[in-house]
Amino acid sequence: MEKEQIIEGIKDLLDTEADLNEGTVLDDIEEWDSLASISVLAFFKQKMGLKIEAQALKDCKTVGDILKLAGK
Amino acid sequence: MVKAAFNNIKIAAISTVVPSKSLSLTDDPLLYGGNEKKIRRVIDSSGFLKRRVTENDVTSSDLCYQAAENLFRNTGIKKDDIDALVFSSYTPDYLMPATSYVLHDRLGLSENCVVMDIPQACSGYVLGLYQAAMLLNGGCKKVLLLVGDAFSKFSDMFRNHTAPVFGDAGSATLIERDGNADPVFFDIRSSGKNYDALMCKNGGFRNPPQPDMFYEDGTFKYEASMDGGRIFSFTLEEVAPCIKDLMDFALVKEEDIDYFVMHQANKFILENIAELLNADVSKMPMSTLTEYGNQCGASIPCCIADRLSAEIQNKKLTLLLSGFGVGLSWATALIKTDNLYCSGVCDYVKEK
Repeated sequence: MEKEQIIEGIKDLLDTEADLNEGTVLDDIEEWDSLASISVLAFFKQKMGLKIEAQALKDCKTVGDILKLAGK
Repeated sequence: MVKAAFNNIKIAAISTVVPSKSLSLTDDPLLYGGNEKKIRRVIDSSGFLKRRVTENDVTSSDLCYQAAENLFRNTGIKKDDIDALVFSSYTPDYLMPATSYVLHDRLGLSENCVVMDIPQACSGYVLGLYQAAMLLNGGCKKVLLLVGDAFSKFSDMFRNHTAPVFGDAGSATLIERDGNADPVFFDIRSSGKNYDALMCKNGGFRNPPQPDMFYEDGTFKYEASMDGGRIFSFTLEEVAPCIKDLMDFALVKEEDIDYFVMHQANKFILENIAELLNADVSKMPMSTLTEYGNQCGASIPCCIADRLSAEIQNKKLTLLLSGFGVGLSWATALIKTDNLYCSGVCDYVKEK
């Protein structure tokens, strides 16, 4: 899955109107919360077969950090 | 991993009781700071809406006691024939003695009876069945398994309005030795390294009560906490493989299973597990959590009573039971029911 598709996936999960790119700071997204973060964990597992530790995701500051977790 | 098969045990009856007091997530004006969009999102994705909570003077053992009395009254099974009582809960009556002794007295069971507590919650029902199976293969003929929790007692989990998802409930299950029974299969696993993912820190002997462990209103600071992200990621990683392994061990396929009766953790995690299993989500009941909340150990019997009680009394059902949570612990069982007596979920009636 390409970077753009992952970002689009995250946007869908969050159900946000915000414009997301690699530099977007997660805490600046109104919808970014614990529920959003478990949705992202599930997204990686289901769509890409990736195991992401909850703590690693918690340590992410930007959308780009999440992409790095997915090896992008 | 522990895998086991028993050829001589039968689940004969299930009875469940919940408090009559019902609370709704939509009733709490302070939930998520009153952010309606967020509340709606939580309700839609988690599936939680209502939950039952006990009054201050009612404990999980009271709920289990009433479930057991209902079971005896409705099935005609004699109390004197019970030769083991197992109580599983994380909300016991006392630190000492085990609550099973209190229940042994209240139920008026015979002195020729093995009595024990299993401190466990979300996987407590499956672990309790496993313990019952071992007791039945260790000389007992009829085991009464009481599983119930009242997590609403961990007041500090609720006072900050972040996780009002747990519902109180009690259950009673009668398991008996029967040489003609279909085999029952178990797979039990544990991860002690995650013991602090769901934890109640205060009140035991590591952190005994101190004067500074009380809120201003006098309630005790249990410091009950839940690392939701870690538990979710664990569940996503471990539960489906454990279920698949047990299905392989028992030589059953998805189409052989009538229902996947899961611990009612939340809708989001159950849907994800269904997807990982390629299981038909319509075979995985989950409206029980919407109506009653996450009932911890009692969620599996309550789900059976809530959703399957009519069907289960008239036909044989192959059920995959899966409990997971505190410990962390995850446990799967495969059972085939036969003439299982099961009333619907009953409301607790205050003792006179």
